[in-house]
Amino acid sequence: MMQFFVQFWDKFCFWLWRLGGLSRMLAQALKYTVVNPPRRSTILKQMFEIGVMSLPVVLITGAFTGMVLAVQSYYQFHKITMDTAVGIIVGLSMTNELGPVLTAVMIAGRVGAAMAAELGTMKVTEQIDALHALGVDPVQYLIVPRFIASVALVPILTVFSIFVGIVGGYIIGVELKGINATFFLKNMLDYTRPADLFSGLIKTVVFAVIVCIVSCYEGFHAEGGAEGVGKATTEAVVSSAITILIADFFLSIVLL
Amino acid sequence: MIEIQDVYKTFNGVPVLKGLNLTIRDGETMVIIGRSGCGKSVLLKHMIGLLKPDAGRILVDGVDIAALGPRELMEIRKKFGMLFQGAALFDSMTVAENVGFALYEHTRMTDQEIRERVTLYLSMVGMEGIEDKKPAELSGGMRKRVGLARAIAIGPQIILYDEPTTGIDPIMGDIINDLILKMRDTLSVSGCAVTHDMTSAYKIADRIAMMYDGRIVQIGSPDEIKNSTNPIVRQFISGSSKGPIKILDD
Amino acid sequence: MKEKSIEFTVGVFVFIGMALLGYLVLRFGNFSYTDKTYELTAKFKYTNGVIVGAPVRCAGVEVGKVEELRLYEDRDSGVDVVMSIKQGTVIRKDVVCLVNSLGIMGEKYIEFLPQSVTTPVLLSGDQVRGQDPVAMTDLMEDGKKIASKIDTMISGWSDKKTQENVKDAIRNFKQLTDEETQRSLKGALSNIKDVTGEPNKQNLEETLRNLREFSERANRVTQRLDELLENNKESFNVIGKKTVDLLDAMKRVVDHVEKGEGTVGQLLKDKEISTDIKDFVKDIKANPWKLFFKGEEKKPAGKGKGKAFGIF
Repeated sequence: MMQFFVQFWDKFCFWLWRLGGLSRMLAQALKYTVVNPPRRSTILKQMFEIGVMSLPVVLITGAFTGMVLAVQSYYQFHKITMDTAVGIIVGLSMTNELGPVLTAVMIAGRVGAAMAAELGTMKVTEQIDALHALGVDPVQYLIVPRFIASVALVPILTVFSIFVGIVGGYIIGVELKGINATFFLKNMLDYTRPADLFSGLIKTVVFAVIVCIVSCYEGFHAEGGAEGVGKATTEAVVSSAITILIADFFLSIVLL
Repeated sequence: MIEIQDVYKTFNGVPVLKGLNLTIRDGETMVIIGRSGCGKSVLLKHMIGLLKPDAGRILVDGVDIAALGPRELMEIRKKFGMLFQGAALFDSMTVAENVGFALYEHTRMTDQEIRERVTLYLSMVGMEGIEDKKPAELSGGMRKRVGLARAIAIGPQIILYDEPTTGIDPIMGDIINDLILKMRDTLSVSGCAVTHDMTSAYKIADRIAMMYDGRIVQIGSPDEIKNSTNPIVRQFISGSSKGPIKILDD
Repeated sequence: MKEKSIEFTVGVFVFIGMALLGYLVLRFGNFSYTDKTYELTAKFKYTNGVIVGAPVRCAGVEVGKVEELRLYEDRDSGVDVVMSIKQGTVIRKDVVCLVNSLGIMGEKYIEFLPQSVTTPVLLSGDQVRGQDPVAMTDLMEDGKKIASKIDTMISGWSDKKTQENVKDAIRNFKQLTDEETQRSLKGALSNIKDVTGEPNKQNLEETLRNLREFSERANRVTQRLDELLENNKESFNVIGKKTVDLLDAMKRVVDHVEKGEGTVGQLLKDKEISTDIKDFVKDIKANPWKLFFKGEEKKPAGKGKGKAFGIF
């Protein structure tokens, strides 16, 4: 019993220590973003990696999410002859909830894992120490470009996801299930406000920060060779995804 | 000049440095010998401020770097060049970008000027013509030499070598030893190497310090170490498994 | 060169993303806030759940939205519903402004029903008095009051005393037209005859004759009334009792409804369900095609499905 308590306490302290480290890293990233922004070329490189290269995966996820939403809600609404409400479900969930969250989770899987693996490898091969030794702050040099690129481009990826999700839902609902197109669109546009879109995008910005900072933190704290890099990568994806979902819950409450 | 005064450091409850004292004079090459995992690399990282001591002072030209903020530390670090154990080249960059990194980040030189300097440093380590290769395409010895070129590109007063001959064949090891001597003589920089390769130590060292159990047990010229009467030093340089040195089975 | 192409790709990516964002915002925004609007305020006692952003319609056409809801309290208390109305919408002073429900889901909105075309047009900042929507609880209360009123009235009729009183009143009237009374009246009249001189005699006589005729007729009418009452006494009593029973039953139903007993009661009691039903019925009434449309649509949808599966 005592031992359990001690273990729990240790875990809790470790968790607090990590939380502190993450906050500090975020503060540093924000500071350097404003005070001493990195070169355009390094940011562009990260933008290409994070934004453009993630597009296929985000498009596929978004389109299928919209389609599944349409199929599932159609079966339920059809029973009470409210077929046209499918448009509302697709429009609202894609803009407000599933578009941002699923994009962020996919980004955590693709970009977060890559960041953690790359920075983790740099850590265990002393490249991060080498940056220090060459008089360059690794946070400024490695994290800030990723941070800026994530915060700038993940929301845009989310817009893509929302758009293809709605198109996917429209195709399933209208073309396949024969819902009246005019009422499908009218209901969707009536019930989805620009505010929903913006609250979705605000969420996405927060998610982008989470993915980037958590993944970079895990990478920076990788230890013990290839195995350590693997662990850091797993931890980065799992922690990002969980944090995204928790943050989503609270953001939904705040933004609704 | 680096003065290490009474430095303590503990990792996860395990004391690694226990009141260590060491002075590296200007222009000399100091070699720290000791068993793997005894804390030699930790000591080296303290000198450049990558690690901060729990207690004690580390004076670089009279400035206590343990008390400096990150910004001043960055400046102090420009006095150092460091050759890492695995060279630690940035593998996303070409050789030229690696060597020219410090110039690119800290000076306002044009790309053309940097390119010329890179060629010069590469020729100093005997590695002309590989500017546009990626580190992954190089052998271990070549990487170390490129790493050395990167270390001197910053224009350091002190070069730190972490296990310069580990992981490469003896002939390449000797080439590296020659380069270390060349750096001392042509650039008149001090050096501090950490190694357990005694051949290398005798060749490059002006003075050798034996580190054991978190402290320096003996400092002396290579000859003094060779003829040491200290049983710990004797056991280490003769490479015997029997003696006063505690061997911990992991 | 390579950096240039990366730059270009990132540029294309951001451009397309921004274009999509702009498109979505404009679509979701329904362009409404690009129109010029003016402001009207409707004063309500009770708004039954109108929210900010709810549509405002004039004769069924959407012309604006609710901008703000302000609870106020000065001489009386209530809600100020501030609305923005599309510029160019003519709303006159005698307009009927009420809270209505929208579609199956029953969202509340503000409805203007134009009346005359002669009263002055409302301008920005003007106020209208809104017709308060009736709350379900009020409806119940009113129903109960009415029922109990009818109840006391009827039970008054069936009361024996009241019946007796009515009979007495009729009997008195009969006595007045009695022969004895007539005789004394005649006496009085002959006295008057004596008093009056010859020239007036004929006139008086004529008047008296008329009077006699009138009193005779009155006598006949009362006699008939008396007979009628006497003959139908029984059936009057039966009707009275039955009405009382009926009202009792009605009262019981209303009481049940009040307590929320029974299925219908529960349905009516549950405010949401009842408003939903109301709205549903209203919606079906308003758009009877919905019933037909769905029914008809199923068939082509089924065909479409068949085709689609055929493709796969």
